[in-house]
Amino acid sequence: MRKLLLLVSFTAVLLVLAACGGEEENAAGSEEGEGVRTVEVAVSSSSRPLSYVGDDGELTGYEVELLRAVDEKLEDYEFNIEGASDSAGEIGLDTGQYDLLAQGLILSEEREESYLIPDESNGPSLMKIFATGDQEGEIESLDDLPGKNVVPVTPTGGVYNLLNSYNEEHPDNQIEFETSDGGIPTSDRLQEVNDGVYDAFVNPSNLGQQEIIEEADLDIHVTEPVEINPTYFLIHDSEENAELRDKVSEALAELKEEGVVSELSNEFYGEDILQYEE
Amino acid sequence: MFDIMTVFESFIEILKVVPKTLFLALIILVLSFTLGAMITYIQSLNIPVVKQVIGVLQSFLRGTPNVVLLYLVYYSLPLVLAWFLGLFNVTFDPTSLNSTAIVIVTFSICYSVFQSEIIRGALHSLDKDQIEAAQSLGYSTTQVLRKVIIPQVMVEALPDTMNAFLIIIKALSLAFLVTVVDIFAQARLVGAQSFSYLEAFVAAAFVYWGICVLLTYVIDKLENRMRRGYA
Repeated sequence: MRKLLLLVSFTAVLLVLAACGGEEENAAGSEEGEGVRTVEVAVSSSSRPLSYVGDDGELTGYEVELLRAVDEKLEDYEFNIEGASDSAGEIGLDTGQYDLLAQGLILSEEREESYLIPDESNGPSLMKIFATGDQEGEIESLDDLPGKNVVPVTPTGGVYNLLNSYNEEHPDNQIEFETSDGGIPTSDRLQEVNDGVYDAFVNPSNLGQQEIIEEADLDIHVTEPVEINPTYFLIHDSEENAELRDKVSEALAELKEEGVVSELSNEFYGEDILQYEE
Repeated sequence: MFDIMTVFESFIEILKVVPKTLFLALIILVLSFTLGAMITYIQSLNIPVVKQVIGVLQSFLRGTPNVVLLYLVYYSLPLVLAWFLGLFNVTFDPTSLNSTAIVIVTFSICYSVFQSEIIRGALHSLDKDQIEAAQSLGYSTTQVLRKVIIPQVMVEALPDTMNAFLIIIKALSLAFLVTVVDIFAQARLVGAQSFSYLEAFVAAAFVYWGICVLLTYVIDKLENRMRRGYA
């Protein structure tokens, strides 16, 4: 009998928790309907130069500064930018804990269905392959990766989607790769590629790799972009956020026109990534 | 937004890695138990310098989080192993080390300390008079160990060891750092495929809980059986 009671109470707690996730968003929205609305924004806190904690302890980076510029343009909204880990950000966006997520995210069918997406991108992400130095000529594109030892991929990332869709499209030319948590830093992954532990590292090139390679004097062959994807801010799907989406799109378009995006890109990436945008 | 069917589908997917996770946890438990018994034995010998060195090691292992140790082993084990095997003129490619091996080594070492405490506590609970009684009956040391000490210490240590087993199963969620896919990692993979992390994590929680309930039940039965005749 006691065991049954325990079981029932546990299930009840769980159901209540699940229900809370759904209700929270509505409550938060209606209260702040008038005047300036606070928008909860999640960014990654350790993806230099995309978004990271600077020397002064404040979040900074390409996306963070871009968000601040967008925030300045939107009078009715106030952005509260917070650092969150990759999957925590995405779960928070699902449940409505965050209204907007910026992690250099590229689009996928599932994302388009689940979230509101601004019409305007926040700049392209260039996927490149970082290969051991002696693989030059051997590894130049994704087609060369089958049979090679590829650095494990985080299941939340765009690389995972890229490799999976490649494998779906090329049943005879499968890229074998393992998955892992994103705990090993990019710099160590590059070191491992340099040492030959892995042959190739597929990674969006906007994570400061060039700096690392130069500083540590690594022998690494960087390919041309194997894929160019526009990245987007994702917005939690709710009625009141529809307006936010339109406003963010407008602001991004204006910022691109005014050259602010190119400026930020030069500051954080050392090149104007807008040149790759079609 | 929260889809109960997705939870169910994720649950089925996650179940697939349960045997592997349990097996891995069992290997770690056995290894850490053996290591722990060795530590307890060496400590009981009271050798001056050795005792202090082990004491420091114990407090280091007890005080550092698993994830830190996992990083340490990930970065250093291949090098240490290559150096060690190099002493015997065996060439070893540090890059060929299996990630499962890294996980087993890390967690075995980490939990051996806790196991040694469990064993020590169980030994303390044993009535010294029993050993003396057995000796007075002419039992040899092996006989005392086999007939008196081990059966009783085993029963005493069983619930705590069980607890350690559950802790290891849960701690294995860190192993994904080095590509070893356990229950939680599988949940993340399932979540990534359907973009429904919340459902996958709820399913994972149920899997963990189910394992805990099942193991507790089995161990309760086992303990009752073993206690018969001693209580």
